[in-house]
Amino acid sequence: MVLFVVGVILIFIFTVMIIYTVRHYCFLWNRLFGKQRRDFQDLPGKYQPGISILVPMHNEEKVAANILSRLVEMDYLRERYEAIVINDHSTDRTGQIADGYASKYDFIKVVHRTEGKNRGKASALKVGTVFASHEIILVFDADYQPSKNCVQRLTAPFCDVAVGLVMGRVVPLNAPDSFLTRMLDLERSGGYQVDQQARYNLNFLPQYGGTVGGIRKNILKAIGGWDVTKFAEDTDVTYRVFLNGWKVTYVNIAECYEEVVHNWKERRGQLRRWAIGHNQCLFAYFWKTLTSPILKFAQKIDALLLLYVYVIPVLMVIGWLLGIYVYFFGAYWWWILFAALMFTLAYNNVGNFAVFCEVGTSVVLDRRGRVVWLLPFNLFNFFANMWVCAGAFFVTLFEGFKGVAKEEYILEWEKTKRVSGINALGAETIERKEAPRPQIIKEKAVEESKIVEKEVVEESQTIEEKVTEEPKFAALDSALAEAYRLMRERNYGDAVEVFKFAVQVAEDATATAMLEVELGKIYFILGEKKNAIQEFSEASKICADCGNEDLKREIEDMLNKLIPLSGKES
Amino acid sequence: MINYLFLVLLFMGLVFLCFLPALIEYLRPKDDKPLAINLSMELDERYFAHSFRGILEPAFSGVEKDLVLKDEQKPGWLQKFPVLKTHLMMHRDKEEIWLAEGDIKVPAGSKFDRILIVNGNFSTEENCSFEKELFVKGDSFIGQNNVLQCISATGKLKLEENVLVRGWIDADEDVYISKGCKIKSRAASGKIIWIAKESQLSRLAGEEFVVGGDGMVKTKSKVKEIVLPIIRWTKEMDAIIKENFKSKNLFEIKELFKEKFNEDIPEMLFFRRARVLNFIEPLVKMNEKQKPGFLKDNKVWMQGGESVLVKGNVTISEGENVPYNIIIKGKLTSQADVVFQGGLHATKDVFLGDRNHVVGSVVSDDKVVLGMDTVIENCVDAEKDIFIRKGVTIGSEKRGGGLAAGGKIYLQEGVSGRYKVYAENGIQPVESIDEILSK
Repeated sequence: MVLFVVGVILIFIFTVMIIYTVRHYCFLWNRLFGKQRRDFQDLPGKYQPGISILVPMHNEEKVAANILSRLVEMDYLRERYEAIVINDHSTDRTGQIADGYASKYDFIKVVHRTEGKNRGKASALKVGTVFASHEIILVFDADYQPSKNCVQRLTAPFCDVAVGLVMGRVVPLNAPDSFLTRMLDLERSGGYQVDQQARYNLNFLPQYGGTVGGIRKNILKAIGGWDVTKFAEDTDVTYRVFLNGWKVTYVNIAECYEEVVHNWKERRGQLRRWAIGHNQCLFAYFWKTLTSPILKFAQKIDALLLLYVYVIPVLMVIGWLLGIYVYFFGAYWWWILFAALMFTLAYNNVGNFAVFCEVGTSVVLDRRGRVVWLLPFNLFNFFANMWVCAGAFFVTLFEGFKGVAKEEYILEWEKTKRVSGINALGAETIERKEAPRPQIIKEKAVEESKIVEKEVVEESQTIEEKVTEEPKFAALDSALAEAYRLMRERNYGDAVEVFKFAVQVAEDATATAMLEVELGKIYFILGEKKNAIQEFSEASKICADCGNEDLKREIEDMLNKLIPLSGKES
Repeated sequence: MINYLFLVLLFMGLVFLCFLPALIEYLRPKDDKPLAINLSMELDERYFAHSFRGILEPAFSGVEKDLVLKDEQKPGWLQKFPVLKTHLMMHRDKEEIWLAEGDIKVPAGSKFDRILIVNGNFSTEENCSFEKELFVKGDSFIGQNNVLQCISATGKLKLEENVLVRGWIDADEDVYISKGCKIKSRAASGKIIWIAKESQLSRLAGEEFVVGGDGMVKTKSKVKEIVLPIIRWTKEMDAIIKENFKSKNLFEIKELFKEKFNEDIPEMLFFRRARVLNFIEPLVKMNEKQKPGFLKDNKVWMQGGESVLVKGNVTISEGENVPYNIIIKGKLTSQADVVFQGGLHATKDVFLGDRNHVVGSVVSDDKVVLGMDTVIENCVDAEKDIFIRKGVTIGSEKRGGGLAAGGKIYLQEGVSGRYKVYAENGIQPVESIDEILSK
């Protein structure tokens, strides 16, 4: 009886492996011999809609200057282009570097988040989106270095009203650094060049990877914005966009360098985070995908297989354990053969994020050479994937049952440590290129002329002073400007959010009280009198010792007006 | 025992063999550089010409006087002009390059097989053949039945009838392509490209292109863009939208606003406002009262982002107004004078009638046929062929524009557009679109 049950489970797992294998070979076939879908890349150039680029940063001093200098050089119409850096609770010089760029280039804005509980990429993106003034939002991680035409290429598909999300290709820049980075280079290569492109060709679901991609702002609003409770906000957005009937487009030619993790510890953390996030999405969107009234059958199947990617390791671990059981207690020799076959199938075709045939194909398509010789070493990656993803599955499952996952995950940044800070163009780290701005400009100036040196140094000092003394005021100013703009547009809901953010940023009691008053006024306009009274009361407390008599009087007047009104209501 | 040991060793040896190449590449890496991305590459429609000029411009900077060709070394039509010669490595081959000063006229039937730079105007009579590229620093006039490799001109460029170009053509000013010309690669211009019917091209990239008749007359004026006004929404207005959004369609709400506020607000803006006020949940089915007449027989979902998703074929009758972006899982047919206030996407064919106006783009997973005098303010993209009737205008100052097809693009006389055109199987100006469609 036991053997029968074991046999049934093994056959089930084997069937799943076969399904995934067939899926990957279909992708391979499509990429090599199928019709490649046109991804609107014949159009970029003159079609340049307004875009807001969000760059969330948390302790990114090693790489901040690289991405910002790439964004400065981007080939796009300046009047339709803005970059918003969200400096989220950084404790290093990230904010200063960003401010340095912002003071030099008008299109770069910096939002400093220094207080508040919610941290993390999704939360930072949520704040950044409030400040985004253009119709399309692109996201780049801080360690990414896009090519000059990347933004144009990513924007082109948005000319189609059916396109909601766009994803570009990621290429590891630090591939030669270590054994792991070389493995990840292969993995990324297969994953993007073959897997993502084939899914796009076949009208399935290419996944938005949270960076080197973009979304329409109105669609993002319509689907409820960034979900800060999800570890994988990218997968979450991908599924919400797809399930609501928009297309997700992959642009293989929109290339961008990234810095991949260097060591196994970092890799473990990254993988665990992805796996938990992805599994959260599995629980959230499994049923919706299955019952979607607008997706085709094949689209549903592929979307489900994509959702289950991080469950496969669990199945495999179970399969191995059963294989061992069969070896010692099994009656039939072919069970053992079966288990061995399953292992081979898993290793080659399922267990690695980009399966072997796809990696090989990508190497051919990219016209690379001997790098593919490293493929057998993926065995280590394979075991790491199995172990971490299986563990992460149970973490998601049990914490989901306990209901504590949300509170635990929204509070902190889980990110990869930056090590190299290589600049793809000059191989200079930011320590030399951007951080001590006055010195490096000075050095350059000495070579050219002493007079120029003096001017430049003075200018740099001004930048430095601004940067070190007033980072928060820059954020407050931009927040206020944005809040008043939203109020002018009568978009009071968003204005409330921005004012709340401004309250967090403001240090001065008078400023905080004034902001509370503004909040109170908006609540009053919105007819939320209780909230309005609460805000005015708060302002009254803060302003008690601020010495601004006019403000005190204004607050008292408002409270006197509101409290009787509120009484009548009650 | 020895047998077992041998088997184990054999097994381990075979396993090691699998890892041997990996070990070699890891210990002595030969391919460990990151995949090369050209980070500085800009998208340039006139890339060929710019790069060609970039290579040729410095070619004669260090040329000595003894490289001035003697008369016996030159063909007759270059006799009276000073000509310099040099060599340059291009595409792995050493190419001979000639530089001629003056306005050159090439007599009929001449042949030339070197790269030629002309510092002056350049004209040819019929049946000439140039096997290598030409770079003219002035105006160019290419006679009938000439065969060229590529040509770049800093002035105007005119190809007379039946010229065959094996590569690309490019000019800083207007480019004229006459009847029967064939250009295998792209035609690019810093200004306008004029194309006569019965010519064939692959790509067009200019500020504007005009498919003219034999007389090369620009027939189309600039696009009149539809600009949505900015509305000052009041609480009262919002309340009316909220009250009526589920029980009336947008046209009825518009009438209501006219009555109550005396405001003529485009329907798209009510939809947009409803989204801002969160009256539209994502992917909610439109009820029968909300549906406009042309969607009565279809399943319709409001997507939440100013778009509706429609299942089944859609036919829109004359003079209708489509107040949202429309994504159709089926075929779209519109009659004359239909206004689309947003963009449209269809998974099957799109047939737009005469004088339609689309504020956004037209995208189809199949083919697109555009009626006479239709205006598309943004791009047109189709997986298969695109048929464009007389008077159609594509692209606008504000939204840019472009035309791309996975198949062929047929342009009828009188079509004009902004910026760029690309067709995988070629662009063909024709006399009658109906004739092609009937085939």
